[in-house]
Amino acid sequence: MRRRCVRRSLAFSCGSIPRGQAISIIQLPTREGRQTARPDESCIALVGNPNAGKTTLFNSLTGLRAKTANFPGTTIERRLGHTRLADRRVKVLDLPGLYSLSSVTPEETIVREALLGRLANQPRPAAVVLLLDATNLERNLYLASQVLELGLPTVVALNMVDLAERSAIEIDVEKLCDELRCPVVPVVARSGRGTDDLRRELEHLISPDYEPHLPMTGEGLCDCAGCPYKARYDWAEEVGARCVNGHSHANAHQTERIDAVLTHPWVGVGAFLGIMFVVFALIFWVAQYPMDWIDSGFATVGSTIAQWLPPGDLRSLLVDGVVGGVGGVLVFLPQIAILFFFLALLEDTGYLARAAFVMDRLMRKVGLPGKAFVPMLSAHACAIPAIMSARVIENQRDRLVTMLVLPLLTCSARIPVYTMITALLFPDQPLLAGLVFTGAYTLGILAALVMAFVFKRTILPGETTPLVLELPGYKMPSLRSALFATLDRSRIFIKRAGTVILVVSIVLWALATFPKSPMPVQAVENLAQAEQLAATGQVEEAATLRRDAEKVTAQSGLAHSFAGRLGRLIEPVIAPLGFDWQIGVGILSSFAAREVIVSTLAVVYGVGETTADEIPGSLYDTLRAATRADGTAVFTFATSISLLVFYVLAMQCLPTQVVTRRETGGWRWPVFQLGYMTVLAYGSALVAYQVLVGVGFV
Amino acid sequence: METEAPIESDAPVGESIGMPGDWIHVDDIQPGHCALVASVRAGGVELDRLKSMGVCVGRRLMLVRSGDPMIVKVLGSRIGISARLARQVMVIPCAGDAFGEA
Repeated sequence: MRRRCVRRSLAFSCGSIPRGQAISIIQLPTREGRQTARPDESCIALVGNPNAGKTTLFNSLTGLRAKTANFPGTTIERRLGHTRLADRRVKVLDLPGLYSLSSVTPEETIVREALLGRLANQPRPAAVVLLLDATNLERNLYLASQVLELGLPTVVALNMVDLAERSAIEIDVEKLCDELRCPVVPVVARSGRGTDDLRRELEHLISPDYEPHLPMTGEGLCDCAGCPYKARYDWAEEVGARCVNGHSHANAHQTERIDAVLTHPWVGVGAFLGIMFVVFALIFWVAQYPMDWIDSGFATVGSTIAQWLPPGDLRSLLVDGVVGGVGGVLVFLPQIAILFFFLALLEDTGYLARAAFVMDRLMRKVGLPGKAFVPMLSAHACAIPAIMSARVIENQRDRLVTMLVLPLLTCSARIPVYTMITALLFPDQPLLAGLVFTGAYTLGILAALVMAFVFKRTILPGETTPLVLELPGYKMPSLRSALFATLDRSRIFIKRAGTVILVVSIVLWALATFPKSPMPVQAVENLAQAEQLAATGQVEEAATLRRDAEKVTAQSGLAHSFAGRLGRLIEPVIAPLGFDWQIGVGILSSFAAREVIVSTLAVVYGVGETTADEIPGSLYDTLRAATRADGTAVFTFATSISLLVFYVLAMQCLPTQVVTRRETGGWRWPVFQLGYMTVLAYGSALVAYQVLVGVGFV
Repeated sequence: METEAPIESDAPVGESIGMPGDWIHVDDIQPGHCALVASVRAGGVELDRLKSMGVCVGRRLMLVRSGDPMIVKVLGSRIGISARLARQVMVIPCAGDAFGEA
């Protein structure tokens, strides 16, 4: 297996092909191949079946600095990294995994165009690494026949030869080399075995002295009147029979034994929920530590800046606007990253395909494929990784519907809001509080399923895509690959969302700060009193008075700011929901990140942000005591439930919108998402409030 | 946005093996038994994907798990398929219940 293939001249003429040689079905060269653009000598491309280990090979060639981006004008992903070949820096392009190049799906078209150098700003790669799974050679040879037909300089990387050896699959590499008319290098992408040989072959293919061979012309497949799939697979089986001794594919007793349980219609669903429960428990348990670190890190940065800068607008901008705003969103990064990590790990084991398989039957009832279920579960931690993982759904309409409804599911940023409202409603009744929490989660799930059902029947109609899904053999996941995927995804999140969050944080800060109002009379009096008390040595009392003055100033400042005025402006609109203008300010301020409403309410009702942080009870007591102009309580049962319903359903998360934009390729769908969720949240809160008031809950 | 072709289609069957009278549906095979794919109806992106994964005329497949969706094994790989899609695949039962190497 370790023998490197002797490079042979590819320039056979037709006459030299022995009769009946199966390669003749490969039509080489194609006219396409010759007409392509000049190759970019510093770029190689990676092609292969899904589950053939392409990502692992890409990672071992390029290392950590690879970047994921979309093909321009599409939402199809490519990964770009760099490697050194013959002392040159060479780009490595990882193309989407596919089973065929027939241009039936957008992925297939784009991979074909990319290989032929027909995409704008994407020169033709100088060489192609065609990755074949040694444990499943015949199936992989189907794609190989189509890639080799393009007539590009190609080297075959025969991956997972270690697993093949263990399954007693003996592949005659030299023979395969002859059949495919290109160098074949056995590799083990996971351990790096054989990658040096692969590099040597690639160095030869991209070297200036490489003579492009004119591949032979065979009997064209396209002229064949029969089934093109059959012809190619007949060829694949013949090549397999000639090059493989013993079994042609891995005996998968172990995989089948595990599958007997995990793909069972009922046991499989139970196992899936169990596995996801463990993953979620781990996410919330592990994430709390880095979240605390980030939180205290931003707090330290904020207080350091506060020490260095004199009080004023600049200090307030940096501490409250920039550090507070960005920190408030970045604190969720650990959860996002850990979720990415577990999803990558689960996918690598082969389990996610089983999850999609067992959930397919149930998901189809709302018109979505089984593959939509993993994103929907992930959305309970955070909608961002969920929306990114919706890529596994091939059908564009199904993917879009899934992405549109994902933010309805309760993410962890809603938990502080739910906690506040349950504490307001049922302070000492954990059972009822638990019921409210469960109700909120259930409402989110129901809303997502109902909206998916509605979208599939209205704006995005179409039959449910029937399931066609490879269930790859189970294997130990690669921690390295999962780590790479996590870093890559987190980087996209920070880069895409970070800049927008920064801008919006500054805008929201400005809205809440300007125009400035004079210090209220009460604060001036408090400060004067504090001076007197301090002079007489009553330091503690003086400090209390100063704090009170600070609270009153902040409250009055916010009330007179643009945000406060906007809150008053929208009060007639939100009054039917049972909200006063202060809640309006909270809703406006939490436009970028929903949990911000808690700290805004703390300021606007005069608790003080710091006090509310240190003694949450003080916030709840104040909110409970808050009254309207007519003296009645603000947070009645009806208003609290209405607020809860609003926060379950409203799209109060700018980073999610940015990611939706990235995944849909424009602002149209995120704007629609914001629109429909706001209408849904408003309508449901309205119904909830009016019904509750109608039946006597005031 | 791609347009979806209906799965049910009257398109010509294309190349096929054996006589239609001998054909049965994939879900009529016993789990663990083998069959030769005799005909796959045209139509739909999903059917094309199914064919490019190996469920095409002339291949031997084994039914691993029946039901909806079901699992078939072709060329060593397991594929989950909706019953609705599997109805488009006609097979001829073959001798032997082991896969491939029989």
